[in-house]
Amino acid sequence: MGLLRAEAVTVRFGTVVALDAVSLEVNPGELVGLVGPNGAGKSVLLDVLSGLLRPESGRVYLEDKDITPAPAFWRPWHGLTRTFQEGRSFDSLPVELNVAAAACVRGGGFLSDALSLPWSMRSNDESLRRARSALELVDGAHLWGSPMAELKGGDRRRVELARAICSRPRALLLDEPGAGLEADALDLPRLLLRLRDELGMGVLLVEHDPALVFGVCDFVYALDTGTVVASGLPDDVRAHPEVRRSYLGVA
Amino acid sequence: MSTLSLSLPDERLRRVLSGPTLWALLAVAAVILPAALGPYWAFVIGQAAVVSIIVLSLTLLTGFAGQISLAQSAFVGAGAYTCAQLALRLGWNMFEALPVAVAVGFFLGVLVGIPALRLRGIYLAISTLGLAVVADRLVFQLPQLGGLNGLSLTRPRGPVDLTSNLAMAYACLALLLILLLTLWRLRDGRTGWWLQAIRDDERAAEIAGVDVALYKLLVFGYSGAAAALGGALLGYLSLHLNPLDFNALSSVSYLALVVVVGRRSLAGALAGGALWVVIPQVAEGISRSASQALPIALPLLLVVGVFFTSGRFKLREALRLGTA
Repeated sequence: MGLLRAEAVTVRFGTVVALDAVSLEVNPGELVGLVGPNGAGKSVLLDVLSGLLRPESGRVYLEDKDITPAPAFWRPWHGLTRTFQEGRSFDSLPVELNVAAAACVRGGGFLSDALSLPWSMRSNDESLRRARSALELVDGAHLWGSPMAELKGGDRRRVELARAICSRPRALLLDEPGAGLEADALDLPRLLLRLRDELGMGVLLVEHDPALVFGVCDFVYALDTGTVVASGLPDDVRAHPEVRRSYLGVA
Repeated sequence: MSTLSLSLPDERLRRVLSGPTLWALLAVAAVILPAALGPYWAFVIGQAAVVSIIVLSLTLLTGFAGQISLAQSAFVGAGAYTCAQLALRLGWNMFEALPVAVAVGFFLGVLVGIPALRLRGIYLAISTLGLAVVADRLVFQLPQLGGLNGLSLTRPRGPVDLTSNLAMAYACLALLLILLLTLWRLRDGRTGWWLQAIRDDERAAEIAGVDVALYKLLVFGYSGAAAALGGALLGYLSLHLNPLDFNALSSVSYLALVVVVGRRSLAGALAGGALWVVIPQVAEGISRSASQALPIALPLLLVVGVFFTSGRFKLREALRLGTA
């Protein structure tokens, strides 16, 4: 059961406990919010789920398969991708290759690429085809062919989002997709609902903007100093005294 | 079209020089020149092809994957010595020894790539240079490998007779063409996208599904294999190996060459290889040592680099290569 599941994940940096036995679950077609003040451990949890960080203890399951030891590059090939809070991209590649590079189409490799074998060519074409539909899904079809380095704010996010969904993942981790953007740069609520409803993805959304989280999410976890202080339906979490104090800043 | 714009001659020339016209011209020149200019120049052209192969061994590694290697002289030497030893001890001819030399180069490349999984920039440069020094001082100069007197090689008589300079030059050009074709395909296919992704942002590349460690090792292996191919051909071309031909500092020259002519440009690598060999020929008559050409060739190559990079020499980028 459950698409993506963290079980009692603990991470320590030296003597600092970044995550203390955190458990969380994302189901297919569910938009799950993860909120908390700065330093609560939200990004650390995303690093653990995406494989960039090995937890000290605890397990991560993807469709009931224990993927804790799986390397980060393995995960997108098996249905789990993410974006980064600071927005990462491949600036020397044009937009379409930024996206197509993450298409995770099987077939072909170094040697068969060098020899131009048919399956390599097919994988190239299929990657580009998927890149086109991923860009369309995030309203970025017009960016095809642009140099990545020339894009700004909202469009960079769009491309990063397209890259994350290009491999058609079942689980998607979004780390503050709206960070540093003008309010109208990206229509995030619409994009998020599209990912959930049209593609049936399970999305874990780390977000600072309470309006977005409590407005669109189906389920919310609140994290503070490495522990889950509240979880449940958005309205319940919003009313939780811990959350009001630490996250919403209301006494 | 009589109005040749004077304000943008550079842009025009560059467009012509990087399009199909250039490749057609090069192909014609490669077929005609060795035969037309006589055996001596056939030898020089063969040498130019070989240096181009060695420079191209860095194009994918440095230009696309953003890795730095000062171990190329070791790969080049390994290719040459593998062939010489196989000839000496087992009587193998060039056609038999060449694949083995390439395989040895690939293996050494992967080995050198292992530190690259952890090191970058200047640290990687130093560690790869270390390998080049070890190969140069401790391996190539071993008495069992011919010592400072070096070793001799003979060109094969069959199944294809390569004993003439002309035939050997064509063989070098043919292998250069094969290398170019593989590079082309790698550059334009997913491998090229992935290598550039690794250069731009390794963490993001991992999350895009790229096995960063594997592709780093593969690109180092490819680089080692190509450089070893160049070294083996150099041996059969000049018929004699001397450990001094593979001294560690020649690695620095190769890296300088690829940075100056445009480390992502295939045509630039060819121009670099050609000028590298031809300039000292013209200037001094008969200098066969690549390292002596450095003071003459670099300024000239800079000019070439202007055309093949982005219209101007990216000094900042070249400097950043050492630390990025």
